[in-house]
Amino acid sequence: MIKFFITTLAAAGLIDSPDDLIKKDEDQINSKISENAFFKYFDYDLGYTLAGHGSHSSHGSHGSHGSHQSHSNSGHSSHVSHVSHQSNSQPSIPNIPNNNSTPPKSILPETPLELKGTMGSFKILTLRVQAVLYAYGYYNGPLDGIIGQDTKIAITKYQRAKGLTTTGTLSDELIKSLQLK
Amino acid sequence: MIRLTRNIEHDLKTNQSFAVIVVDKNESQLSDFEAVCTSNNNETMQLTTKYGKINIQNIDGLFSIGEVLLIFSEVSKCQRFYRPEATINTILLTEECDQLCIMCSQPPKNKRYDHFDLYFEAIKLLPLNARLGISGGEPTLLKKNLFKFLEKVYLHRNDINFHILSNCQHFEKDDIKLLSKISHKILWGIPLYSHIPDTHDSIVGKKGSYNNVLKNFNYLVQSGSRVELRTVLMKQNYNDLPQLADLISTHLNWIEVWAIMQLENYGYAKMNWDKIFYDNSINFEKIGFAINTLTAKRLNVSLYNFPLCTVPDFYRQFTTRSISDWKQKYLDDCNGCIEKQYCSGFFEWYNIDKGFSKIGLAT
Repeated sequence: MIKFFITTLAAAGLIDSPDDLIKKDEDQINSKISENAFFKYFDYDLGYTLAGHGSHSSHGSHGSHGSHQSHSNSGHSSHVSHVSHQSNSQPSIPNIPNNNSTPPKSILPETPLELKGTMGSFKILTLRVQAVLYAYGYYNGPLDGIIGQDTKIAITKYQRAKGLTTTGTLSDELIKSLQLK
Repeated sequence: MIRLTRNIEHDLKTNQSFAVIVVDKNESQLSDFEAVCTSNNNETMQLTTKYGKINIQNIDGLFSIGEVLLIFSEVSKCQRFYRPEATINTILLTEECDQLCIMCSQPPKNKRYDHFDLYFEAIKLLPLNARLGISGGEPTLLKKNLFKFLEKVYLHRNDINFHILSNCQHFEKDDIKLLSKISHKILWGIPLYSHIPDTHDSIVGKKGSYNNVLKNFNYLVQSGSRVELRTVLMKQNYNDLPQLADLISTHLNWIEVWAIMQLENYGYAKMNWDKIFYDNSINFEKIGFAINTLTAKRLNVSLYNFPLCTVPDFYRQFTTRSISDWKQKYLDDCNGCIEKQYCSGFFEWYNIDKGFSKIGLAT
């Protein structure tokens, strides 16, 4: 079961360095990859890209195959029962900013990290940062792609813990440390 | 709308059905599987084949070069099998189905069109790397013959890609071997409507359907098959989307893409419209939440059949022009919209009075 979670997290890019966990078995695995089409699907690279959406086709080098072996025969259906393990205490922050009503600029609360033109990819990056911080236990809010108070606190905490410059915002250092690039 | 099956008048010297490709050649040089397309006026079109001449009335336009046609000479019908300009060309294999979905746009009938040999002949005429859809009804009800057909196509034309819509009820362990062989050439479009078995089962009208789908995913993943998971958005499952997104991102994260789809108001969907249509132009919140979850975990998600103006700005990047060109239309309101070329548009049978409450020009 632990193996399963490690690989699930690794496949989603959510743990530190699955490389280390897997390297041991690599030779053994490599000989098996070619035999079993099943492993194709776990052949992810862990790097996120800013553009993100649609970057799936560029499958990378290693994979999290090894520990999936136990999984392949026992089947997916047995795992389906624990769907609800993610808590659904959802959003205190409104999920989607209302685009239809635009009050005059002076009334609008300041959104510090709004980058015009790259809004789409910026929000996607924010979503991924939130997902990783959630997996590490720094963040417990909704995945909304908005750098709100909770996200800022989570980022600051993470930056302190890892000895990075504390900015409370998305920094290059942070993105690298979270292995999102 | 473009009509894909047409009545014909002909003086053919054969009773057999056959496939031809439209070419630009001198009539004397035609081979058995080629045809030349000419028109005297805008009303009728004449096809010249090796077997004789065919007349088609009330045409929408000339057949283009490279178009593949099926000629059913006995019943005097002509089917446009492959149009080079179409976004996707689909074989309707059967109208039988073992599920009875409340939003089915094409309710099941006892009709089959399993002319596999003819389809195979036609496929030989397709251009390199062509993509074909296979739809129903439920294609895997003819699983035995369908798999033989797919294998045969793979042996002779392994450049052809298929997109098969299936309810994923009929795969078995024994299929893994064949599926592995052809898996990279097939994208299976498989529906999953909710994370709650009962909700899914009640939508598709078959008890145990949810468990079958999840069980059969094992065979698909073991054979390295590619899956496009499809969820039609309805009042019945709108609230389930966030949890369904959790299920997909934790346990089904091997799928290629999750497609959230708007209704096609035809068949049962038209009948049940008021009970099932969810107007996402009013509230997009849970759809957005579901998209966020998948995007955060680096999975692909796509919105099918959503006109751009019904989707909030950020989520417009996930929409695709998913409606087949032959049943796609734009409204009068769409004239002058700068996003029109990127927009899925509406189904031919879209009813403005019962549709989205907020549509309008993108600026």
